[in-house]
Amino acid sequence: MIAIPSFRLEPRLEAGRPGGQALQVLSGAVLAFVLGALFLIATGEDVLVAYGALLRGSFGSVNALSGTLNKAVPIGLCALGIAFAYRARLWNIGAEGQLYMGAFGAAGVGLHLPAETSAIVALPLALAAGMLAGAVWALVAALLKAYRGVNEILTTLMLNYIAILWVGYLVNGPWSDPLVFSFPYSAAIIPGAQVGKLFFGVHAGLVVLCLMAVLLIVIDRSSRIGYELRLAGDAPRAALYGGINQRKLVLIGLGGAGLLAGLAGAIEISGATLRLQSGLSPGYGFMAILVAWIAQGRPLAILLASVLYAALINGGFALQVSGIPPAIGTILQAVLLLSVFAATTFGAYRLRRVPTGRVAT
Amino acid sequence: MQTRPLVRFRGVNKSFGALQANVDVSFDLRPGAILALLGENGAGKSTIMNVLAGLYVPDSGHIEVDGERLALGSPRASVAAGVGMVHQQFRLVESLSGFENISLALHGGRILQPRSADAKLKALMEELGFNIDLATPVHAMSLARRQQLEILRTIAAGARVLVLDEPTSVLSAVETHGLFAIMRRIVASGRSVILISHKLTEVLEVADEVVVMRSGRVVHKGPTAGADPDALSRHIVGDRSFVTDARPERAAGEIVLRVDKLDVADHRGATVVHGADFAVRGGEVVAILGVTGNGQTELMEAIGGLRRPVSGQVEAPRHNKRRAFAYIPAQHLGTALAPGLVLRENAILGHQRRLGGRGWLQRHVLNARAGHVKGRFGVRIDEHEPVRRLSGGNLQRVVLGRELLDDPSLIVADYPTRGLDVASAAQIRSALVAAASKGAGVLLSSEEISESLAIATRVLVMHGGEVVADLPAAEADRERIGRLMTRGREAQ
Amino acid sequence: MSPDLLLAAAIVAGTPILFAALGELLAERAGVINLGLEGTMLVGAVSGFIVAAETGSVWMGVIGSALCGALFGLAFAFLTITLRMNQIVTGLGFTILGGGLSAYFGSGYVGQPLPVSMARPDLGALADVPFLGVALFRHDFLVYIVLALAIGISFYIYRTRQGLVLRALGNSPDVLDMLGMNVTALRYLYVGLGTALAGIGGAYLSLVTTPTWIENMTAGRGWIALALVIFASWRPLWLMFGACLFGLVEALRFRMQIGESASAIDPHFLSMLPYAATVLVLVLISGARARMNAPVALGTAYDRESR
Repeated sequence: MIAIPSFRLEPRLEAGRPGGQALQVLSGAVLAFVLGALFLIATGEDVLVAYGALLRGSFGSVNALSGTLNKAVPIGLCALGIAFAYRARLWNIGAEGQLYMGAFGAAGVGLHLPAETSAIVALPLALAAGMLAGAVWALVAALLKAYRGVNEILTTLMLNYIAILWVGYLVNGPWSDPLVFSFPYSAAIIPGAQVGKLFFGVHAGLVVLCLMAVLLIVIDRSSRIGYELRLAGDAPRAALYGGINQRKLVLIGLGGAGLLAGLAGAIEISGATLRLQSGLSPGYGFMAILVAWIAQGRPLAILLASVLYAALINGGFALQVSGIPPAIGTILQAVLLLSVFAATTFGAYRLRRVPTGRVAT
Repeated sequence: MQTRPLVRFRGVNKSFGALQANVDVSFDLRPGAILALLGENGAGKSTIMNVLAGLYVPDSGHIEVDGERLALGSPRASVAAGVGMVHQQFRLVESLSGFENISLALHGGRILQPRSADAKLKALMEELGFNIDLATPVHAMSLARRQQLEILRTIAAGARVLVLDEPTSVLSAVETHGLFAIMRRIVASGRSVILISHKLTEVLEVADEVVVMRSGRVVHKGPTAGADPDALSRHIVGDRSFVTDARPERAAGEIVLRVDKLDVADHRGATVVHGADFAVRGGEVVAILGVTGNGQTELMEAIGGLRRPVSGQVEAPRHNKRRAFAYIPAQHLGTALAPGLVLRENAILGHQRRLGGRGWLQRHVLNARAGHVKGRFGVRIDEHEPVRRLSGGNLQRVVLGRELLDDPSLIVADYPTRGLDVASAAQIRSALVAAASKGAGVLLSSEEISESLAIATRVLVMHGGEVVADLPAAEADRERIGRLMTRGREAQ
Repeated sequence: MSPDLLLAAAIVAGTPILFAALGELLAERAGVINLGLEGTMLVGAVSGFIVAAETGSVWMGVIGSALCGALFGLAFAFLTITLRMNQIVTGLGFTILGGGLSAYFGSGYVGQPLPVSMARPDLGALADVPFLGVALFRHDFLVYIVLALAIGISFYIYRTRQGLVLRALGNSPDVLDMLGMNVTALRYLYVGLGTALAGIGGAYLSLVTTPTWIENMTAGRGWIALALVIFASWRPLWLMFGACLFGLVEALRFRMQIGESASAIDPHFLSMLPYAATVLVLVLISGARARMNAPVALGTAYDRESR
């Protein structure tokens, strides 16, 4: 028998300390920074100029900062929803579509209420309509999962495109603005349905995002449904033992995720675009999956990660000004994400040296 | 005339940490023989067979096949030597047809995939009396057919020693006899079969020789012809120290659990509990006794709500249609406890909808319950740590502590003293007796006769999925129960 | 528009999707779901165009796109199979990465015309058959190659020994492991082959359809290919049929957009059809997973000791 040393990854049994996880994320970020710098050097770009432009474009001015914060709102809201569903190990790949449906719901209210409707009536109605539309869209996948066992990853993915096309139809057809007929835009929503600005162009959606993060923390810590979701995610059989209705849990988990993504869409309409338009989201719902994963589902970490991610997108625009192709920004985004995933996955496992290979003699 | 043994086990020792799974195991297997490896769960039967199959490397000792020393710890070497094992969990690709499954193991060098069985395979099927439609996809096959398919694949791949791990646990009585006929045809061709079993009746029916194991050791070996069943039962069950506990002193009260003509299937869909029908009253301790795998766990799971019965009914205390009685399942981590949740959270598992608070979990209630759960049996753990870090005994104490917290009127406990040291086991037994003395009904499943007899007021014996005896404790003696456990119903 | 031209347009529109979908089918049959398909197609599109433009040979472009697609796919395989990173999020990350890389390396080529074009085989008299000639027999080589591939892969999966192993791989990797086969190596192989095909699918857009490089020119075709694999319930021949159907939708929508044919149906609804049909198929097969080929182990990294 020959002893062949080999290595294998095995799951760590002990849960890492929160500090340890922060360290993993940080080491992933450092790795991404180094890989990004290597890529820049290899392609002949100036590393300092590129990183400097990214920083300036995201946090370097009032405009840059407010743009970053405004972009963090839809990403963060969708990510909170995705994390909520993932408490029960439910995948919501459909946040993008739910966001579009939420925008549709909010625009429906914002376009059709009388123009002089007061904000006290119009704004809550618009946001509620958006949340409802997002939740209903997610419930399509949830019902199929709960009653027919249809894989929610695939259905939520497909439903995205239907929702995006639906909004495309509206803004090109029945809801298109007669005044700007050459663009796929609706008319502007009534002033009452718009959320105001907080300061320097940052709209009040940021407050909603923070409130929702706090709400998720409260749900996690003190609500029965939060407890049951986590229980079902951790040990499905223990949920059965605990008398939990698993179907209801699927509806609540995915429905809640859709609600938050719908809210993201509603706020995007009433705070940022002020009208329904195609290309409303550059993929916020997909980015949110990555953000939720990086933040490992923790609400406060999601806040932080969504701001940083928004900063990367926003900073990407500034690259061009400095003469660096904006695609570099996208590449750095992907490298950052993948490095952090790799670092956290690696952290969840332990590289163990297997002393002897089992080898036939 | 003495033929050379096909397989010889020579002083095999294997330990897992502190546990001695095999101690100096030695026995021979003759060609053309069916040898039964008999013993309770944890007796070391599977360990020694996994050593034979090359899955475990023993600490010492060796195995000879056909006089040649087997290279240990190599599944490939074992297969090459002609050892084939059919596990309890079938290793089949369900989406493929029967033939395709066999072909995966046989036709390594081919480029084109043969579409149906060749003459050789057909002849083998003929010889062994298999009647499988090989074109059927495996997922559409009955469990008995899948088992035959595995046996056929193993033999077609060249196995001369066929190891069957508890093969009858998925079979009905008729199918069991079909399997026995197949086993006899297999050995008629000079191959040998090792049958891992804990069922004395079937061993006596089909095997030529029997090796009994207990606590990792071979405690008896000999031919089955003329063997004394009572002596064999004693070998299996052993001579455990007698436990003296007090029984509850209370007259039986109201019925708290009624099990009505219950049929229950296991995870593979085979019906393993047949027509269970009994009741438990307050103040009673009813012990279900049986060798592992005779349907006790499935029965307990059906009562506890983990398993939907095939037919029949369970009447037990409910709160809004949910279980409102204590249930200690056989498996703790992952079932009675969520491994990733902290102790505080596990302390309310199953009770979360009975704590008030209208959808909110109140911190002081959680803290109080966690304190009680820890205090009841003296578990030391930080309330904010995931319970997966607890040892087996402590997990057991957490579950018991939680389940006994609200003075339930019914306690259903599946072998709650499994793996515990003597003192802890006594502590748990006295807790159950104390609950019964206060008026609770206790349904207890156990494999330990003396433990059950020490505290039970009534004994139910299960064999082959049926309750074969319902005896007051006074009429239950060890010999009689041991016979019932291993051989089923008494002659009337 | 005459039906024969419409059918021809559908086939051309379906070709890049079919390449990518065949590739995804191989990976998914092996138990790996690659949500980075869109990014892989973009990598293929840009590398195919660059190689073709620099070498002056479309075939070199096709080969280059296959190699770059496979390289991109093997990086994905390393992260998901060896490092066991989650396939869903890693795939999404690769979609972004592919978009960024292709935009960066293609920035000098945007809008440039391709000096060479993909040859069309002369099918002689067949090309003059009424209706069928225009619809079927006047296409470029890659169209016939992808159709042959679909048939070939179908034959491979259902008639060869290695195809049988592939069918088991996505369902019961543990059985193959028990029988002594190398699950990890097989999964690398099929992910690599699959992403090579996806790369060619992307190159078809930049070399034949357009033919030029435009940023993000796949425009969601990678996602359609993912839907198509489910729609065809993992069967290559159905994939062929489905790609024609999806291609037809795209061709019709294109005609409508340029106002060639007025229709009562809005083109947006037409575009929804593939996705709605895919959801419907998912519902229909939900009761009979095993019978309908859905790989049971799809999306899960194989770990011998976790079983």
